[in-house]
Amino acid sequence: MDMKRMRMAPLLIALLCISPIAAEQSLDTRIQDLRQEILHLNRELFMLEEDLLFPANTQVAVFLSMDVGEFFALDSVELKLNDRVVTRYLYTPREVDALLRGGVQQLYLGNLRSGSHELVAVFTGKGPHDRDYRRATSLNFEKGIGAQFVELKISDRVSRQQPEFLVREWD
Amino acid sequence: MAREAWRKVLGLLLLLLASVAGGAAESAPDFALRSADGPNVRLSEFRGQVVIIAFWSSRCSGCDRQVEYLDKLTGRLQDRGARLLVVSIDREPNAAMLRASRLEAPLLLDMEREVARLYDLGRLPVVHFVDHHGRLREVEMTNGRELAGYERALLVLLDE
Repeated sequence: MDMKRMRMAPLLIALLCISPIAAEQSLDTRIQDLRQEILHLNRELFMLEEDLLFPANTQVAVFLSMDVGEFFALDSVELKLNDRVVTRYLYTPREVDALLRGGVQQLYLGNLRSGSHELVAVFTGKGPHDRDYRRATSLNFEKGIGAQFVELKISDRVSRQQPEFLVREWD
Repeated sequence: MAREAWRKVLGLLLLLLASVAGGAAESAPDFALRSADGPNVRLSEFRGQVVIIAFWSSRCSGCDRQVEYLDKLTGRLQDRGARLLVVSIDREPNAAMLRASRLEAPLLLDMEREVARLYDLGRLPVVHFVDHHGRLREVEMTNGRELAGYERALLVLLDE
């Protein structure tokens, strides 16, 4: 009988050692699953919020992109819609770097009713020869039914050794 | 469709309940400011580090001693992820420029006091701690006699 018990002892010890580890692993898995679920829910809620706050019929979004950037170091952009400042954005070197590597930033998302509107973007930064540079560009556009997307693009005009600020509607 | 929407709303309520039950710390309001002698700085770019935000003004007598202490402290603990952002609320940047030259940490210019409003600044000196996850963790007001308390608070957050 004693021998039997002695033979069982290592098995029992192993079980006692393994079971807390298994329980811990199971708890870890459950926590991970819960985290994933929360992330998923967060994403869905974000989309729902966007749909509610910015319905497609009145939605207007303004994006910013950069091409090259040899003649202009971006510092900030101020955006006006119908003479009202709707956003001001200050750029860090990391953000500028992301734009230069092809990133497109959603600068503004808002609502506009159908009809004629004016968008003005004021860019500040360092221009050629490291001089302070401030330039505005504008767009008059007709907001119809459906979402309106506008792109601001900063690029280099090599022939004039100057930066170029373009604004256009996305089809 | 309606069921889907209800499910999402229920999810939102559950998240809210979870955050209330867990006593979740408030997210530190993000901001971007020009620095007195360097590049623009955005708070959210320091995610993963413990950030001390110290508000400063040339008119605040206790601020200089506090900021100097925090500058040395975060300089010593920089390898462990400690960072200091000094936010000047002076309308004129001259004094801040002068101060910045004596600091390792960036001195940021909040001339319009937008960040001060964001952080509900009522008096000086004021220090905010932002943890690895970008949450406001502790708000301390000091008259300069309790500087060692900052090191203790910082070490606790760095060890998390």
